[in-house]
Amino acid sequence: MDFSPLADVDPVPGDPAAVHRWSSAATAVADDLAEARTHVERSSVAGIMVGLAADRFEETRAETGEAAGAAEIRLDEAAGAARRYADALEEAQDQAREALRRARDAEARIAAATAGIAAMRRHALTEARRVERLAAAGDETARPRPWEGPDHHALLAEADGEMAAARALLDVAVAARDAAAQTFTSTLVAATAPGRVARSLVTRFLGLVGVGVGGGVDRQLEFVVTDGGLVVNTRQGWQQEAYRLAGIAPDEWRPELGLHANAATARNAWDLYGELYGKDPDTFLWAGMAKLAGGTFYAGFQDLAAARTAIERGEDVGEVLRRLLPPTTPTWVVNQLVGLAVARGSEHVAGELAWVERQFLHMQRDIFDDLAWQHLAYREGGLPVMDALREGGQIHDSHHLGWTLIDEGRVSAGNAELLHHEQRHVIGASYDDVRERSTVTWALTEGMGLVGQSPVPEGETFTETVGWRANVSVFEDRWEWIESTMYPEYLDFREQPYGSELIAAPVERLAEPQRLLPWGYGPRGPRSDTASGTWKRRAQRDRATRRRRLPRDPARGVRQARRGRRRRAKHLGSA
Amino acid sequence: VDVDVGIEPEAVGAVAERLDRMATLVEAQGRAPRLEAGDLGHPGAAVAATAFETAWRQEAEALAIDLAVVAAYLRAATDALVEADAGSIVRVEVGG
Repeated sequence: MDFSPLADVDPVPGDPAAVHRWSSAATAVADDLAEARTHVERSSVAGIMVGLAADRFEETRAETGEAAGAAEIRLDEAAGAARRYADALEEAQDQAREALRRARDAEARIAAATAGIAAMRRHALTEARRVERLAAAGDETARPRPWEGPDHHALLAEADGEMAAARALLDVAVAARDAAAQTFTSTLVAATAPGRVARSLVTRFLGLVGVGVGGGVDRQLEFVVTDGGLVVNTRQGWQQEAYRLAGIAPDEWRPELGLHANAATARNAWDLYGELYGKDPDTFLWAGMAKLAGGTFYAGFQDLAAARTAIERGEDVGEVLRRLLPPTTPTWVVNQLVGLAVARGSEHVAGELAWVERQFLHMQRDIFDDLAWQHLAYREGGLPVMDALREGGQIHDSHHLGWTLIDEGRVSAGNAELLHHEQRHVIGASYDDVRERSTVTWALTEGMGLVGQSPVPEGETFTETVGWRANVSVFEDRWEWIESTMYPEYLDFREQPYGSELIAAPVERLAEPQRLLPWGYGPRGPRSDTASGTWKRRAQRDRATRRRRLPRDPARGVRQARRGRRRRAKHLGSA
Repeated sequence: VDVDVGIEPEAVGAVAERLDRMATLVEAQGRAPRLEAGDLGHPGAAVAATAFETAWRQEAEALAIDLAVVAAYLRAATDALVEADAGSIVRVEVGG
């Protein structure tokens, strides 16, 4: 619309009718949502389903109904705001059109008055000339005749006033529109809850069926019937089950926060392995060994954290690090490793220890996320479920091979396959990162090898098996230790009467005798050396009969020496 | 245990169908209200309306998925009753 003489463009644009239609559509959707909410509220399975899954369903159903109700309210509010805005816009446009009509009328009157004023001027000039001519002719009585027409000056002033009034009316219309728009905007902003409800619902559904958040859901879901309800047959679905059974809140498992924030979760994860083994000790050999290893690693985690906090408190770095090495370590080795670390300064050492602490916590979670759920899937559905998981790309071929071997009765070999995958593919690169990160972390991996306690009570240490030149962070060295002594010793140990008893013990009890530092790692204070040595003494008695060694590769020592020299040259060169 | 203690398959199936219909309805409604550029005649209001419509479409999509998954879950539970054995695999089409 042409808004001259008031403006170059329409100062109150918009289509109130379209906004009204939008409002009506939103109201209709809100009504449909109300119907959906009613249906959801009536969709209770109480009386026709019972149990855990039914409880979860009822919780989720209630939340879905609430979400539909919240969306209904938001749409109603938006619809109402749109309706009020459309009314205000329509009124403002009416006012603007009235202002335009009056402005155009005033414009015409201004033009007429201006023309009239010109006529008045011409009349005055004509009369002046006439009087002048009569005076020249001797008529001294001649006078100009007055203007007998309307007072165009007054009319112009009146029209100018009308134009100003029209502009003021337009300003009022624009201000009213702006105020309505502000109200509309505020209401819509308040009614807009981007992703909030959707996220909470999806989170709930993760708990219900384990469906992923990203990319919606597949058209076809595959469930496995379990004694605890239905589980979506995906990695994520089973992982939810693993977390639930372990009593772990996935969002609260945050390795980046260090041991103190994750200690309970870490213990729960290891204890789940013990439970898995305990319920089927002839099948889940990996789980039993992982539980035993949990004791060793938990002791190591605590020592790392305790060393870091001690250094941060101002303890002597060299002294702290010396206590992390076993007394049997040759003095020159101790001096060299400790010297390398001390040379970097206490702040750097504490920072590196903190990094390693977090790295090992990440590795623990990586292992749990990789294998704990597979045990549940196999336990609930056997090989057909693992077949389906492989077909769906949810597990690695080596995992499937491991479960196939187990299913065929080659239990030890199958569990060894799982163990190999874990060590090589799940945590191999993380171990490499620890060794390669800095001189301090490299020295730490060397120290870990020197400590090298086997998780199996009285089992061969790392250096006893592969020699002191090896590094436990190197997969080949570590796997040689596991394959040639640790795993066979574990297989023997679990047959002992106290084997299962120890595997079933809380992980903190397993860790306690394996601690190297006498300090606590957090606010709980110094550890107490509780007597958990019963199993240790019993194991010592049987050590000679339990140990089973495989033939050694004669070239092994040469290879290890070369690898060790290369690594040492690298780090000592940079020292 | 749900599947052992007892489900009435027909009743559960009816609930699932109802939820499926709602899922379809909500999904369709998520695409319904749409304002064209210039309808509101005010840039601030237009930005707010666009943000609201975007959020609503996402919300409707999430609601539709949730309703469909609940329905699928119920259907799976019903099928599980028929299958009965623990460890059985049940495949369900989401959205009916």
